[in-house]
Amino acid sequence: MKHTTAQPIFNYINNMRSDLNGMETEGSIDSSFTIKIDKLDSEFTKMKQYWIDQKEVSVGSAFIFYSAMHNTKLILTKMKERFKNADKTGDNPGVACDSLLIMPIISEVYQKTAQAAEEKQRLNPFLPNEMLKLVSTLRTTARLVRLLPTPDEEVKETDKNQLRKTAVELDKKFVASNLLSDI
Amino acid sequence: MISKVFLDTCVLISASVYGSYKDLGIDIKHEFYTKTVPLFDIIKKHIDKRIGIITFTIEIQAVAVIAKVVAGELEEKVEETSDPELKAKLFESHTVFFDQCLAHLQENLSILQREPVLQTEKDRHYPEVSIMYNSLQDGARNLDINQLINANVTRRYRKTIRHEVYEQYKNRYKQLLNLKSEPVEESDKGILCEVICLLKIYQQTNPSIRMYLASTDYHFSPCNSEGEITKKIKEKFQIICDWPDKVATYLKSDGFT
Repeated sequence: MKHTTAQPIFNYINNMRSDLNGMETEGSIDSSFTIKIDKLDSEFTKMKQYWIDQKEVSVGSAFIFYSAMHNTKLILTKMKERFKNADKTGDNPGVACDSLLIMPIISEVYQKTAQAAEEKQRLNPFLPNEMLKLVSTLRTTARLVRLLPTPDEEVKETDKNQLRKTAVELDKKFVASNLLSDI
Repeated sequence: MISKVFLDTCVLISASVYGSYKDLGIDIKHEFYTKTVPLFDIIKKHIDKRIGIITFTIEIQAVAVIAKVVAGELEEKVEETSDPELKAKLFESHTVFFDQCLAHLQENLSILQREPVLQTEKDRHYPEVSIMYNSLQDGARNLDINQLINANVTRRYRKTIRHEVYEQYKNRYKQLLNLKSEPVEESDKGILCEVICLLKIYQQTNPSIRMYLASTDYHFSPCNSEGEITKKIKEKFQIICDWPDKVATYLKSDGFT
């Protein structure tokens, strides 16, 4: 994925925000908005893969940006589900108002991830930490506006055996590590 | 009785590192997780009293430690494979676990009071803290269990009970022996300086305040028996260091039931 795609996506997110503003004003959602969510989701999928394949930055840094994209996708999945069921669940126009609150953070996450993709070896050393904070804000806000999936929903698409294995190994690692050295 | 508990980074991590996915039958908890539960229960129950305190340093360290461990483990696993599909699965599973730990951390932080500490104030206490650890380190270096046995056990019994007595002494001086093999880190000294600063501030309005430092780190808390470091910190700075479950017991006797 090349950074040249960043500006059109950034504009696309802004465009989505305008749509949501319109829905809020009209007090009714536009069900075709899910197509836009899908398009953005597919861009973020590419971005996730980009960080898995990335060899010019450390795995540790790549992981932070991958994780940011992963979380953003989780929120978009929940957003799409709520848009699809909005009329049945009385979530019209509630989901548009809630989405409007999360979109600026998604935009910021994308902007920083694109910046990291451009900088690569010249990566600003503070950027991964800034991203960690931003993802935390993203998740907290998403939880407040019911756009964060439950822990069980979050792992729906995850390979269960791999998750179990990782959880066991990480648990051992936390016990074994001399936690505070080199921080 | 007014009591405050400063939570060390390791306690926050122990309380936050767990993964529970009912559908998958996964229920993993940090080795010390259960030791942190009673303390967090009391802090939550008496949230209006602002018992649990941290500083910005602790908050930053906790996130950094979790990220470092998860990313480090992922790095190792990724190096072992050339299979792109497995690599993708590894990134995803590590992210899922990481996100859950961070969510628990946020939950825990939400019931703690984050106190500001001036760097200049912190620096003011550094020499005293450093001198204390240096002197304990000297004590640890000079600690010779064989010499202690020779001085305290009559020659007649030394041979027969040496092994047993050796183990007893080893247990008695575990904290010092630990200091010998693992010297105190600068980050630990910094944490102690922050606790001292906060105690001084609280004492201005509540001279009889009781200050605890909940930690699973042997550089503060005792290992089995009462340790020299713990004793020294209490004597010098009036700060009671102990494991989180023990601190919960102390809080109960202070009236926080």
